[in-house]
Amino acid sequence: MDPRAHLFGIRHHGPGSAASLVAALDALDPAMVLIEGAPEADELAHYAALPGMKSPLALLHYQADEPANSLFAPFAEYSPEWQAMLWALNRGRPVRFIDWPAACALAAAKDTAEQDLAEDEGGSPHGDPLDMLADVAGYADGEAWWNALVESSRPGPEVFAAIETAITELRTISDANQLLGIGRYQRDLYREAFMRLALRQALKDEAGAIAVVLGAWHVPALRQKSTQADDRAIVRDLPRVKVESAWVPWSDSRLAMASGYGAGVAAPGWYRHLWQLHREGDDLGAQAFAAGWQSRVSGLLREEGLAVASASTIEASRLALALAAIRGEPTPGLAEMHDATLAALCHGDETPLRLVERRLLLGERVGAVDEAVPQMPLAADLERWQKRCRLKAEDLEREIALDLRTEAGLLKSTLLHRLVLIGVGWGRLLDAEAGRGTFRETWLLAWSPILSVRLAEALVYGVTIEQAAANKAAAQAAASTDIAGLAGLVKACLLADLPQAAATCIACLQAAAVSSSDIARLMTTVPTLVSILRYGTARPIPEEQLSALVSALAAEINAGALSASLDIEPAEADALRKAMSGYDQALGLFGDNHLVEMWQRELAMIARHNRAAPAVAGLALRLLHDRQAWDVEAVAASFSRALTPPASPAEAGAFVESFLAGGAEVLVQDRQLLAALDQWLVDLDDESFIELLPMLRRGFAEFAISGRQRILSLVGSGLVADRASPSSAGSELSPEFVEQALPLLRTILGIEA
Amino acid sequence: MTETRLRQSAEETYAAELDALKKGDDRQRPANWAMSPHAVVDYIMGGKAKDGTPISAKYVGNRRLIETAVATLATDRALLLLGLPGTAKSWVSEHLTAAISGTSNRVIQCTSGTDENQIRYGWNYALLLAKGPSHEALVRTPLMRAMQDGTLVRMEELTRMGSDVQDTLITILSEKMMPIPELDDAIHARPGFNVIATANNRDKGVNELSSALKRRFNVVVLPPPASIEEETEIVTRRVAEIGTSLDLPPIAPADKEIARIVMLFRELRDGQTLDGKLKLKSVSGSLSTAEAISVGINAWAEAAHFGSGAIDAPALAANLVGAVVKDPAADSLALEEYLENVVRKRDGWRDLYGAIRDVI
Repeated sequence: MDPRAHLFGIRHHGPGSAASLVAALDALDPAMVLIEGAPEADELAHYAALPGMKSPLALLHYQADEPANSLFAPFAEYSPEWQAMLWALNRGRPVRFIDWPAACALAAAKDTAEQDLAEDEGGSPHGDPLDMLADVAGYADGEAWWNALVESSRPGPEVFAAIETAITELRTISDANQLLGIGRYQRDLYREAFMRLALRQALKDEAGAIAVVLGAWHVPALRQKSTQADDRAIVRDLPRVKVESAWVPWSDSRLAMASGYGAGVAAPGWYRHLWQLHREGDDLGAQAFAAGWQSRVSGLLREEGLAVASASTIEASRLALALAAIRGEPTPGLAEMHDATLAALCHGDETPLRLVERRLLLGERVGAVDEAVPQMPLAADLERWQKRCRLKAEDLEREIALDLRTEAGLLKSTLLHRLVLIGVGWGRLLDAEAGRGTFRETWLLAWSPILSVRLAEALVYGVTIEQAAANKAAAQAAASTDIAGLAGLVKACLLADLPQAAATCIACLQAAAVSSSDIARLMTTVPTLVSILRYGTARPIPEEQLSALVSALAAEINAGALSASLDIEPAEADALRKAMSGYDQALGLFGDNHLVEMWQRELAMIARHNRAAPAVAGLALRLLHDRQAWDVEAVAASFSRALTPPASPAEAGAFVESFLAGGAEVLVQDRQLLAALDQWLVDLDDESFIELLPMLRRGFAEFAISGRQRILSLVGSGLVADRASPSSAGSELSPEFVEQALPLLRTILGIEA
Repeated sequence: MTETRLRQSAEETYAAELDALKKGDDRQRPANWAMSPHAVVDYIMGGKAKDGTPISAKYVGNRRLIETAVATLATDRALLLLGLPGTAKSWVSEHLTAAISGTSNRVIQCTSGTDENQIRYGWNYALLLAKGPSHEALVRTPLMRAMQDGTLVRMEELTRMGSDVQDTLITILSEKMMPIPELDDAIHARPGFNVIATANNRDKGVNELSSALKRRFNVVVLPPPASIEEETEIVTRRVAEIGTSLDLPPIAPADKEIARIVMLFRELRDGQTLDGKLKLKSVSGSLSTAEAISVGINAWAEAAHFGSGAIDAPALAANLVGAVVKDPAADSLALEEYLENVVRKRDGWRDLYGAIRDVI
């Protein structure tokens, strides 16, 4: 190979690699830098040095007519590729990308349909090949191994030579035994042929030294002897698709995901810290490094309100160093830091550490793209949707009515719901009942320029509206513990035709429901879900999962309703009563007999319990009565127990009000109940009676006129009093005597005389 | 010589292993340590000595925890081992002292009756009265001896001791010095001195360490067994051992039932089902491996004396409920939910569902 070509085998997203690379580039001072990456990004590279470009960022390539088929090349500030790009741009040296074109990659991905991003990022299906070497050498990951390597030699070309030797060995064994699988092997052949072709071209175009920055895995292949004609032949007939490319903002959490790192194993936050170590140069020793990290942890812990003494921070860094020494490593790795933090700062308790883990290890950075950089696939996707749906973006407000039974209507509705999910409020749903079994939706449309900005922000979540909406919903669900909010999200996902995201939200809802102790809240969630199940949303729904969730919620409620109704304030009791009656109806519609049985058991316990809030107990008894779970005698006994002392008049009043709500028939048909009620009213003293009057009035107000009249006639006939106290049948209760009470009864029952 | 002691200490039982490790140990040793930190970790976790002597594993679990513990002792910070009952805290601390100091006999069992005289020093009152305060009249405690000789001292169940007595340790741990005001003198600890304390983290509310003292310890939490297979094996084995030593009438093997106990305990303890699909309410009890063992033993006794002669669902049910429901309100709720969402729907658990329903 031409001696002007210098190959630098790097570790993707490895801060150690990046530091060594920068040192090596400084030493070599190449005339041109070639970087592993799709050449479609050549024109985009020069934007990287703009002041508005904040890492993490990614180069996005997507199929022009099908944006969902896409490919990302993410860069963090510590990615060697990013540093190489900046190095060249700052010195005015040309940068070229030399991997196979995204056009071919995407065409191939479409063929296999199982394009794995992680696989594309690392050098092997098991992650980075350096991780494999590190594993053999007994290190936690490639970064720890690299550190050890960098520590033992000075950063620079020597490191790259050592790695090349190791990888060449690894590669020979792997290729001979087909360790990577045939598809992967084939793809490497194509990619490396392209790389060799590009390298030859660069050598022809440029007279000076040329630096090639590429995954260590590919270095041996570029050294390999082959002719231009051979390489041309390899790549000649590859299928291609039309590709568009753009810079897009990326985030720390996606960086951790897309790079195939398990959460918390090797994380962007940690790598950034390592990068700082390398950038500060040699004067930053292991001690300062450990102290820096432990101070960061302490700072985060303090922000969470935990007392962390500086003395403990010092101890933690000392322990990290001692641990590294025991494990034979020159500097503490993430594992040592973690163990030391746990023992010295958190008193062995994982909980506080978990509070800060996300911010500490993953980081919360979101990248930004400079305004001068051309945008962007979501806008293109929206345009495509608008064409398909025949909707135009207009400033003027316009109302449209959609019939969801037609394909066009459903399409429009899906689009608008998805846009709402990603915060692009182009349309506002006017008809609140939409989606609950009705097939109509009314939307108010109005486009404003700010929505373009929102669209750009949503890019963090995905490149098509569908992807972005689904990912954003899932992210929101993961961050939320509010049950009602989550139920809303589930519904929103179903309306937006995102079954996958809906499933995620359902799982989050289940988890949130378990940790919630607010039974009334849970009860109000059930009707929403049951109505989705029962009436559908004019879209396919994950029925099985949804009904599993409803049964789980119902089981939870059935177990907790009693304790939720004990010793609560009247206002709370009232809320619970309302939620309970909605839940009861929904449970009936849901139609699981076992759950209904358990519910009745719980109702019976509420009705029997003497500390249950009267309003709730009244409803429970009524439901038991209506379901005929208890016979008349049992209901009547319970009813009169609730009305007689030691129940105070106010309690009894609340009980009666909630028992009577929902129809007069119960009293008309059940004389015993009427008698108990009658007896209680008669026994009230004047003061309590006047106090209770409004409550009673409310209780009766919902009865139909005819019902009220029938009750009145029953009371008037004297039958009630007879039945109530058979022992006093012969006493002075003459019809005349009863008649004296009639005017008052009319007032209570609200019947004009 | 016939053995007259019921139990030998760790350094005697494993003398051969310790010698082999010491012989092959060429790494740097902290002052007054019998072997290097690396060799200590090998001694605890098992492996092979340089000369090929096999080293048995004293602790089965995460190597990283033991490394943290040893590194702590090497940095002259005190070590606190926390864990549920039956997670081998005292066992680990005994072996650590045996390996590092060559003796595990310096131990103070902390109780609510422990006073400062048992921690710092006491007086020989006859001498004190006859001659007045003098070094001869001091009665030395294990802690004081450890300071003078530069060895480790163990303090068992640290949190059982009153908080005011605990705080005696603060000066000793931070300044490595114990003043004797009566003699206007002080004992200065030699290198190698350190404290290993153990405490039960369920009981920490009893006499919670003051934050001043807590800060002077590095804490290592020894967790319950990591996998269900490991735990099931431990429980099965211990139930058989204890049951036999209690002379319980023999019964049919109950491996299947014990597997169910362990599964139920683990799921409730972790707050989620084993497959991770369902989150569960957590319970107030610790549901430790030790408790699973005792449920197994009780069910055995019940089955053998009163029941069908084999451990079955009814024999388990009452014991399980007793072990799970410690706080009547919250725990019954959690159990109820678990019953409905998990037990009822799991294949082959129907009998257990019925049996537990009968009990609650």
